[in-house]
Amino acid sequence: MDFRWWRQFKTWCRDHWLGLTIFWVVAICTGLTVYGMSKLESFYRNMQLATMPLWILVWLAIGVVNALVYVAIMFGYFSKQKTKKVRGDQVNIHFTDVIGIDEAKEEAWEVVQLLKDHARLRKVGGKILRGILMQGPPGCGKTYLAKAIATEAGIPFLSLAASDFVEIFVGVGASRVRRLFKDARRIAYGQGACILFIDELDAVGRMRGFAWGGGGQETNSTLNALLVEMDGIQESQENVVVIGATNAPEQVLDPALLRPGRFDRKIYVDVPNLDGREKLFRYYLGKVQYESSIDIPRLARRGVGKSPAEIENIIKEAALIATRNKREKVAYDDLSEAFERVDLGVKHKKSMNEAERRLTAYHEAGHLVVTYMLHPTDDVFKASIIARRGALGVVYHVPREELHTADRNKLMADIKVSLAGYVAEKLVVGVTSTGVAADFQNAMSLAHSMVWRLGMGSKYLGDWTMLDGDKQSQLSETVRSELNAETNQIFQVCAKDVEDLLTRERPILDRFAQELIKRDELEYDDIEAIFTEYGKSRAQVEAIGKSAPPGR
Amino acid sequence: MKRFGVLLLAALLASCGRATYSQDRVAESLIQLCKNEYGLKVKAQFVKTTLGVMVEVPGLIDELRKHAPDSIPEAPPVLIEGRYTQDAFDFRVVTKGSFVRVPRRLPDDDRPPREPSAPIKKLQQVSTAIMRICLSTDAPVEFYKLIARDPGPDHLDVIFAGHVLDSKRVQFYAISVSDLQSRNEISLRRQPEEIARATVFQFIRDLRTKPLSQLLSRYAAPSKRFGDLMPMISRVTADLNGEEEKILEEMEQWPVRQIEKDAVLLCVPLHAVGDPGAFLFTVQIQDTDGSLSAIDRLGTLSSLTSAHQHLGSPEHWGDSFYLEPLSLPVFLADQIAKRAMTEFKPVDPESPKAASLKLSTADEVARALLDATTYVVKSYDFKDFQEITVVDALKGTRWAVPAAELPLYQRRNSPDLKPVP
Repeated sequence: MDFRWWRQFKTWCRDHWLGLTIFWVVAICTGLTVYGMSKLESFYRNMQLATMPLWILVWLAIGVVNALVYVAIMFGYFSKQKTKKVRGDQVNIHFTDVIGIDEAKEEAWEVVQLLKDHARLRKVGGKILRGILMQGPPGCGKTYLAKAIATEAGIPFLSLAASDFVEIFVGVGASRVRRLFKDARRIAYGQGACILFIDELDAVGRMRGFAWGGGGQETNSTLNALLVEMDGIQESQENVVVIGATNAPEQVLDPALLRPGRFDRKIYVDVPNLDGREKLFRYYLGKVQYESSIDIPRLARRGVGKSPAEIENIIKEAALIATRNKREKVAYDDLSEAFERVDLGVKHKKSMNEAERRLTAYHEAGHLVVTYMLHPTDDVFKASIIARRGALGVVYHVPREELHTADRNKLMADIKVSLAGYVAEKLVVGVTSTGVAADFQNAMSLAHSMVWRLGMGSKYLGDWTMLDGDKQSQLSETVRSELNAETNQIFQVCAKDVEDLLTRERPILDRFAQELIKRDELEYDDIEAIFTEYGKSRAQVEAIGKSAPPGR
Repeated sequence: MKRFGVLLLAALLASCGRATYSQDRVAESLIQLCKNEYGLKVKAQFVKTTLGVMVEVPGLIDELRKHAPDSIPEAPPVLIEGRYTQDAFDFRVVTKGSFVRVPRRLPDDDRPPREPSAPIKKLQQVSTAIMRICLSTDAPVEFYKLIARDPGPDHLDVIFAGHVLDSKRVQFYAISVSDLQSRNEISLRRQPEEIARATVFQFIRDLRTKPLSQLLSRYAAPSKRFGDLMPMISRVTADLNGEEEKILEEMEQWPVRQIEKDAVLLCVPLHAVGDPGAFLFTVQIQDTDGSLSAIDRLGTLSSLTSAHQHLGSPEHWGDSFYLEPLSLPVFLADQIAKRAMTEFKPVDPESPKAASLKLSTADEVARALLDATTYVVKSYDFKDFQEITVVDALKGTRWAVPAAELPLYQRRNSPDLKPVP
């Protein structure tokens, strides 16, 4: 027999005991009042009724003040937390609404099946999942996927951020964890199961540390409480599934949290691939008015590495740009500008003198030419000498396709592109500027990684950074010096290559610089047109790239 | 929750619209209330806008005599009679001796209450019952009158009359209880029925001993010609046939009923002399004295003349009483007079205090009357008068103030009150 309705009724009564008590007290008092009033003579009854509204107001005011004081003191103002309790059917996000992350969806679907068939699972002797950890870059749909799991499984869904647990008072976080799980178990008792979604899990889930000054005790105690609630000594019969979401890598989280029995299922929610991006662009463009001529696959190719949140943001931004330009439909130009806004930032024109402007133009032209001619994977979409985000100019290049690894050639090309600005300035003006600082930092970081971590130097293999700690290094001076020398050699080789290229292609460099000075910005088509003028085409460049030796 | 609140409101409002005592049963409700809650037997009537109650209170006069020194300390130096005639308030003033005007001060309500005696308690219970009925009825009750009848040898009635509005004001603390008591009218009268009984008794006794002419001059009401009464007096003498004493022995059982303010019907059955009939005497009451205005011979006790058929059988006359309805102008006139009277205290001219006091004159009394009139008409929102006239009965001085000029006399620089030539 199914006693579920009885348990639901009991749960409901338990949840609403205060309201029920108040209701009955009010009902009885009201009944007695009505009875008493009916027994009064009409004059006295009318007199009571005439003064009753005033008394009600006075008592209400007193009651409100008393209740506020009571709640603040007795129910623990500090322990209150902002939990959003949502029923599964109220969330209403289905798997069909989750777009672009098909692999993660497949794993999530498996979880849904397990949650739905928990009764059968019990019969077999299996245990329901305790925890699911969703990892991945921000904005990829972790929360969305968790909601879809709740909707598909038809289970109530409690959601909050891990940072809500933490307060300055030690112990408050732990008590909140316990209260949250108590609520979840209560819901699970009535509804069969409950999903507890904790966003930004790394806020409390980081590896426990012990600082001298006692700092971190609150986080430790909160994490301990979470570990105990998820799989402590007391085994709970109710099905409470914890879904945690984090951007942080696994190494950051406490190992006790990740062991089987707690977060025993891990779903990696990555940025969407080309197909996923295309679906996402179609989906979000479907929510705005857009021109039918927009090439969505091209957008998808351009949006390499973009998360669903970023894609949505780009569409929203494009809609705003279209509105600003008094257009009724979003055009490709709007989308292009939206891409730039999101990636590069908002333009803000700085007044530069002619010399500085020329210097900046040559700097960016250098980056442009080297990227176009040497980079094996990236295309240049834009070059600009309009300031954005603190930089005086920018060359916007995007990978042609998704790549999950970078080989030596690509890293070397990245270093060369970074050094191109410096070389161009040196070639043209003779002195370089502070504008090369960021480029050098980038180039140096790459070169350092190549030699010290990735074994791309000529002599040493392995990850030498592990032995070279902040406080105490286990490397000898000789080894260190040689590793640095190799790093510098890569640097120098790349700089030499760039210098040779730019010297050889000086006319193109000058032409781009002039165009930038004249027009401030050059788009993809403009860039292609100029290169074509000088007999350079993309196909040629790619062919040269493929035939080049693997890299020194 | 919303529906619940609406239902509650509807229930309360539905119950508050209905008066507890409906207007067509207001007198019966009062009788029932006194009987059920206090175990008192009373008679009640509702005439025009006055609700009247008569209750027998044995020992009332003795009780009032005991408290007389407190309630009436001395004979007042100023006597004022107030009337309302032809849209004007008329006041006749009679002053005696030396007196001063003292600011009116009501006694405090927080005096420790005395334990009421049985007659007073009975009065209080009936008053409470009247109040409850007046406040919770939809009948247009404006005044209430409580006639407390002392069945003792003095045959006196104490009449308490008041305005229902004042009672409501007390409920809402607009006026104090002392103020309410000062607004109520209390008067004493000899029971009209007893006056009539005494008059007829004496008449029958004098039938044998006094000549007809004396009987006529003593007992004939001034309004009646002697010619109307003479044959009836003879008839009475003949029918009684010397058996007067037998008739007089049953004096206490004679049915009597007041039919007007100053007229009482008294029925003298003749069964003591072997006659099934009776004589019906109409007695005119004037103060404490009575005179005969008509004598009718009835064949049987229940064969009343057509003029009195509506009174029912004389055997049941004791179940009801006559209620003279009050009217607002008359009530206000009495109240104004009473207010003004209580503002004056006598002064012994021999006492040392008298030298330092400014003694009041009839002018002051007229002023006091104007002040009292202003206060009272404002309190009751009464505007149906054109003039206030005050007459000093001793000196014949007359003051007249139009109603429109009354506010002028309340200002700081009020005009002098000049007598009318």
